[in-house]
Amino acid sequence: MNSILRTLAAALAIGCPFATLAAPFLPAGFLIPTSKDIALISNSPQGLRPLDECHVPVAVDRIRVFFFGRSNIYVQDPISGNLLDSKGIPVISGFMNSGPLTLSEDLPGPVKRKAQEAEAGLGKDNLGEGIHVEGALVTKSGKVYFWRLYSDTVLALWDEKKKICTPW
Amino acid sequence: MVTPRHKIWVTLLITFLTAAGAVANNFNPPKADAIVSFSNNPVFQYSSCDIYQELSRTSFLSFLEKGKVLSMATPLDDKSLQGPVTYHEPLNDWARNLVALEKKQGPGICQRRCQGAAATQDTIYFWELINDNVLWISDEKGRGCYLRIGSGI
Repeated sequence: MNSILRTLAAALAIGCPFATLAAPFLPAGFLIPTSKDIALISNSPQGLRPLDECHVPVAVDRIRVFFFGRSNIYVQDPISGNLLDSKGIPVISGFMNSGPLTLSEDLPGPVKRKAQEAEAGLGKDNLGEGIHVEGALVTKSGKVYFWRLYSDTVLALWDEKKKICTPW
Repeated sequence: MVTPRHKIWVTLLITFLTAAGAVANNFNPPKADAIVSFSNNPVFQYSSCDIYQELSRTSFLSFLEKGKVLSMATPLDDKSLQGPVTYHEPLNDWARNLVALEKKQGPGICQRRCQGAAATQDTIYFWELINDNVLWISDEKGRGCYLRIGSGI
């Protein structure tokens, strides 16, 4: 209830359209793990099935680094894609133009071709829209999170309750 | 001109490549009692025909306990992979309409999205429910297998 009231107050304060009013911006109970909490990090499977061709792996340390400070955590509105600050104010409009995404040079052939196609079509700053750099992590307490890297500095994180956060 | 001898050689070649693929895959699914974490992944709806559904931990473990391992080299359209897809309630109005349409016009209109991850002490596995009887499970390298429970078709 408090969350709803805060959403309402914040949205009224900045004159948000109704669509944003309806979107939760504080996922109750969603805890961002610290780097010490994390037991395992893994990329999602790559390349061997036709549907997975656009999955591109990255070094897990690039994911782990997001959890050291846990600062600048944003919540993504699952409807608009906007990133909201702790007051529910949109700070980034959707995931487009989220920035360059640096990929490994030694990707398997089919995966590399897919990445090159995405870069040719979308441009380097939108690469995270065209390919899937994603995976899962498990905390020491056994909780599973899913992550997706949209750019070198934007990582989305969610759990099975569909709560989405974005360390930036 | 394709002679019967050519056909035999082609058949032998395909058999060899299929077997080689299965060996190279070299994947053993985890034991059910080694699983310490399990989660569905509420994937985003890719199209308006997607219906997101969850698999229970118990059902997942039963695939690991009782599932027959099918080779990674098995093509997706292999008959052994075909099986019923049950859309569990509750469905929203949109999904219910899709399912009704599929009953009238035949399979292929809806796409059930049911996938997630599970972990042992040292490895994360990814799974996807292909149909009610078949689960795909793999590691991050893409090595994996289908597990089929029941008789299939």
